[in-house]
Amino acid sequence: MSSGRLRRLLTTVLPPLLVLVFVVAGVEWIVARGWVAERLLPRPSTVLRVFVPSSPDPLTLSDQLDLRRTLLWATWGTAKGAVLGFLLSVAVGTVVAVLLSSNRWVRRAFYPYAVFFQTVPIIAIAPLLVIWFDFGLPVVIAASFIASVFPVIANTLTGLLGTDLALREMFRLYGAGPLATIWKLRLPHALPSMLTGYRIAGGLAVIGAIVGEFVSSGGLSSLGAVIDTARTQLRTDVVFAAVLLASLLGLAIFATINALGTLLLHRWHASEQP
Amino acid sequence: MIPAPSKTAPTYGDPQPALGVSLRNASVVFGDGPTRLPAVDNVSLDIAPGAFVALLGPSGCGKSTLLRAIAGLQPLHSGELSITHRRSLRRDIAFVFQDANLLPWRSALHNVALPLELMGTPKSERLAAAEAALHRVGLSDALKRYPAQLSGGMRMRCSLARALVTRPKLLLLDEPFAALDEITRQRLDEMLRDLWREHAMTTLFVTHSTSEAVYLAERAIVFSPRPATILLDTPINLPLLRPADIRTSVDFAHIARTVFSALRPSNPGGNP
Repeated sequence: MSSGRLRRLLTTVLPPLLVLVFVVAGVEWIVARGWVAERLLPRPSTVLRVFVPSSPDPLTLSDQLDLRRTLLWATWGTAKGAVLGFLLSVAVGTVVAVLLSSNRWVRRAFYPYAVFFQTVPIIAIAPLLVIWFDFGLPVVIAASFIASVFPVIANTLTGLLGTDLALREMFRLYGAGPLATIWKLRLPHALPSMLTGYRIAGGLAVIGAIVGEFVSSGGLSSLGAVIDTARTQLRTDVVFAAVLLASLLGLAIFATINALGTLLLHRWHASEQP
Repeated sequence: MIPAPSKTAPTYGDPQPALGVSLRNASVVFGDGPTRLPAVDNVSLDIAPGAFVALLGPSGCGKSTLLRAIAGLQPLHSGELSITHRRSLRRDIAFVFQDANLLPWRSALHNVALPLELMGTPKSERLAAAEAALHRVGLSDALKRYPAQLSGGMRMRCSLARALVTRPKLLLLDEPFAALDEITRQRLDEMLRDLWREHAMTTLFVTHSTSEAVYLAERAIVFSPRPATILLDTPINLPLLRPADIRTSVDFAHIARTVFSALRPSNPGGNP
């Protein structure tokens, strides 16, 4: 690694890291002094202890199961639902956006119903999903999909419709059909905004998956279920540990999409130029 | 108006003749009702196959609209447009825009190959043609570069190569070099003039610049402010081969003055 890259890494990583250290130390101190009850806000050190393998778990949460393994297993369960929901959003959202972009009247007729996915309170229809799909993974995928599909549609559509008039005219001049125009002009042009949509959708997919898990997955098979169970036993440390894992999962999806974006855009797009 | 005599460029054995353009009482109107905006008003014009014609006029006078109408990108409100010897919509007409309009996600080579790709030319054939076209405009060493890595002049040359790759019989250029610096612009003018002499193609060039028009064309047409009507139609009687320093010759200055005074009438009652 060159000193320039090291420097860039330090300047991008150091500021948020310092904020983290200060906030965590501050919370630790406030709770340690007894200003906030530990029952309400666990000390960060207590939360982190959940991840230490040797820590004994005298509580009933997991029937003496290794809490750390339970949490990792639950993270995997949530990752499955969130990633499948996200991929469904990408597939369906892209197709819907292409159809909406094809014609102004199609757009006027159907776009309000796409917005519906943005405004529907996912927590309110989650029980309905259980009635439709029964308990288990399909509910989680459906909730994750509903929560994350709109940003894919909206951003892809913006990109598809934002092509330069002169470029569209050039395609027309050379007799390009609608399919060639979408494939060779509109979609490549839309790629940067599609990736922006994916970044937003990735985080929302995790949120949707956890809402789905609240209502549909029993036991400790997912982070949503773990949070629900730990909540009833006032295990705020486990709740926080699960929330931390959920955030890291969202971050991992985000980082994967960013890496994909760099791979696809680095040669030509301004957002990836040094 | 006196119909201007036009020199026809040699064809170098290309069997397909250049296209002629004929407009009869052509009008273009944008909008309707209170926002109705006539852009081109009753223009009649004959352009012989193989001619090089410069179209001049003040900004927004409708000369670009006229060019777009000839390309088939803008329907006529009334009047007639006919293009002689045309085989198909796709093959024979090429348009060079004000911006280079390259696809930023494609290398220079694949940008130039695009028109042939859209017409369904086999890959090896179209890449060979694109490479030859880029070679002709002096971009042989930039085949793999992306538009973001090219200078403004190089991008415009790439755009020219893309227009030429289909071997068009009618080349339409809409102020292609307006954004470039003077030296780059003159170089590209010289290149374009050579390209016109090599290929049998009718060329219509929209510009603001009197000296660019006189250097390039065999005939200059000056339009009035919007809606466009023809104010002057004059032949440019300069040699077929035009060295760079012809711009300083007396003949050049003489023709330039004629065009310039039509473009900016100096009578006190005229436009400011």
